[in-house]
Amino acid sequence: MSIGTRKRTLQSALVRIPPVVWALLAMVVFFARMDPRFLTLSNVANLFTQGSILMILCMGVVVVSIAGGIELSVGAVMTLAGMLMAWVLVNTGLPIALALLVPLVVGALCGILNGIFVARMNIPSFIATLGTQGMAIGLCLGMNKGNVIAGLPPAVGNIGGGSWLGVPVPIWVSVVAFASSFILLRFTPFGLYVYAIGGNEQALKLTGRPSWWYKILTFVYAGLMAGLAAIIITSRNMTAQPTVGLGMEFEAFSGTVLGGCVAGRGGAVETTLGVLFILVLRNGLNVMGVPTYYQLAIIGTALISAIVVSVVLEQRMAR
Amino acid sequence: MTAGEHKVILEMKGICKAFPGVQALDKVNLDLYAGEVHVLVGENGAGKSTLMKILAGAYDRDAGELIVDGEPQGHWTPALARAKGVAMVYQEFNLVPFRNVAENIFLGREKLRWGLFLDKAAMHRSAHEQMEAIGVPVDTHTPVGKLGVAQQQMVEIAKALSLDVRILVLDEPTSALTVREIEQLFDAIRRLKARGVGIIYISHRMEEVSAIGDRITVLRDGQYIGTRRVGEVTTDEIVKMMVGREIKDLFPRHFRDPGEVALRVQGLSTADKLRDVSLELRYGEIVGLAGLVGAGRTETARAIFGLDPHTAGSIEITGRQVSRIDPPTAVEMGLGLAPEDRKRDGLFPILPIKSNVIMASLRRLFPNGILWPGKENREAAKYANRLRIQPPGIERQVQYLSGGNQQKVVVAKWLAAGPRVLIFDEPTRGIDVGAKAEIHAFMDQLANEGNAILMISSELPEILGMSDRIYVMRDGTVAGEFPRGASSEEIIRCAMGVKA
Repeated sequence: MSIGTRKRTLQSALVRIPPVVWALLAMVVFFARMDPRFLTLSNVANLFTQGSILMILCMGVVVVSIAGGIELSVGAVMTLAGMLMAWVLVNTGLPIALALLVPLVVGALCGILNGIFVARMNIPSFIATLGTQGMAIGLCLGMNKGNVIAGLPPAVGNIGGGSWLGVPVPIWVSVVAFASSFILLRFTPFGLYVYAIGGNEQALKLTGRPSWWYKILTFVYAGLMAGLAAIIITSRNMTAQPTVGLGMEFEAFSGTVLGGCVAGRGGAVETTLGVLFILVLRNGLNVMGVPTYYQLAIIGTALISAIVVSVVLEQRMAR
Repeated sequence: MTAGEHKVILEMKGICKAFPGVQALDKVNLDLYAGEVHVLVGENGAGKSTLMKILAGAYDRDAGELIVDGEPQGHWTPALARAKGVAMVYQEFNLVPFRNVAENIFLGREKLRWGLFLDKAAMHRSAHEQMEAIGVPVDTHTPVGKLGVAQQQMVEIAKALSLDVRILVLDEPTSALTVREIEQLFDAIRRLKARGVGIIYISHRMEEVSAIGDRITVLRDGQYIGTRRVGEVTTDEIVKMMVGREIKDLFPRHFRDPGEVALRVQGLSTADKLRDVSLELRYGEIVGLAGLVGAGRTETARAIFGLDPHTAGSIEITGRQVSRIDPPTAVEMGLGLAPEDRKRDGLFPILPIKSNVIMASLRRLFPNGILWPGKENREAAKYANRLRIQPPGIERQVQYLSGGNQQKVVVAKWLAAGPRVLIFDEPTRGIDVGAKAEIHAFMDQLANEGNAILMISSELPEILGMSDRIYVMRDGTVAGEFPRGASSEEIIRCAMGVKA
């Protein structure tokens, strides 16, 4: 590569910094000036620990998003996986290590269900995953008549509440989830197929690859991540709540969209930026003492505006 | 030619294929030698695509033999076709726009490291070799969406080559290329021939048949008509075989005295392309807009229709001056645009013929805002029959029609909408001779019924044969105006900016 092209690459890289980065920086500066508590170490640590659930979910959803799908069931699937895990731990003598497989299996099964609906029956992913969401919510509420499941073995608390090298376990797990999605998308054939399905599925089909199979796998992967998130959230709360994942699917979906991960574009890094955007906004509003009810409205507004801005910017650049 | 000339690598015998309501192929034959270019021609809907899809394994044949390298094949699948060295380059490219050249070339057959991870370095190295082999060195790190059409096509060909292809199908490879790019493509084809690759070349352009073809096979209405050596057959004979009748008049024009001014454009300029474009169009006229690719003809049409904003100038439609124009206003004032890329911009592919036909005249036909099915069917059928859309029937989705019939649906839509100022952008691109003559006849009819037509075309015979007057564009402006009867030389000189 000549020096000239390298210079140009640097320039275009600067131009191509996603708008979400600028928005993120602006928000950090704004909240830090509004309230000095925002940039304290304890708040930042809190932000990342709280955010690990969303991060793990997003690392699954991003794969579906890049493949051109919309995954709206991860919140409910995570809740269901957590409920079943708690039920098994409380009501059966299964060793903890084996019981931890339960949420992963539940997540994978829900993913297979979504995947079959979408890839084999050609139901739009938006609708299929919404259906799975409803079904999972119903099961969560029904299995203990709307009540939480409590009384988990104390040892379970070491997972979600523990730390390693001074860093809370949930953060480690979200780092692992990030690494997994990053490597998968960037360095494996499966990752390339995910981009190909989102960019031009026909092209993949014509190479003789079963694109439907990879589509199912994207949903299974998202389901597995939901199962992983279920382990963390259940072991941290030490109870399984039937409404714990309410609204999480929208935030997870928003995280990927804010990171620009739609149909053939984006990646794990971009999604992480989107997740940070949501986390910083939510945390900043908390620190400022904005009532929870209004927070929802503000976050919703911010998400839509951010998406509108990025769409407009993209159209500008495309011209 | 190489010694492998007489080695038959592919035989398709008595291939039949039926779709609900249509016998798409009826006992069709095709064979291919190593190192030859076998041109496959036929009108739109003659069955070329169906035959090629059977060869690719995308469709199952109902009957007939498929013999590859002397071995009769049974159930034929896409995977088998690929394994035997069959590759296709379709008219619509099958590339992933946001991924780079190397990733596209090796999509589905990635080179791996430790059996798990992509070996990107090896893929780029090999992709670069493939691109060089066909004489087109591009940076393999470029996303293919950023490449031009010609380069994207070369990526498709490189992709086929990397498959160790022995039977390569090129479906109208030159339809979007400039003269120089065509030369580049032919050069690549010659290299492939030298390597013993057999090429099936689908084209509508007669001049290409003699330029690159060795043999030619003609299909018509799903039937096999015959195979000839290129040197032993004339263009007229091929056309006759294709159409099954002699085309008496490709340009059936009835010239009359034009009426009032329908459209007057003065000093039209846009931000990036057009400067000071002025032209005039009268009712009953067909005015040709000629020029080289990139001269600004499509941009002129877009600006008049309000798809792109103009920065200076005025547009006057039927005597009404408009300062700013957008597509709804344009249509309301009686403008119609039949775009160059009809499938993308001119039609609703998954809607039936009838919905497409009445789409621009809903207000006129159904003033109460309620679509009465009976009237809808009657009106649509009236125009569909008048244009002889094949196969008949107004319930068929437009995406299943051939290119020529799709264009007829576009024409029918404006025919139904009543007297208008119509802009046709490349009305017969990619359309076979038979359908071409029909489209021309309907354009003539539209003009006789009092419509004013502005026809953008890159085909000089079409411009000369159809136009009452001709504007020639060059570098974003009108460089000259010619009356009917101008010579092609005059027009080419004007388009290229060469003084007589």
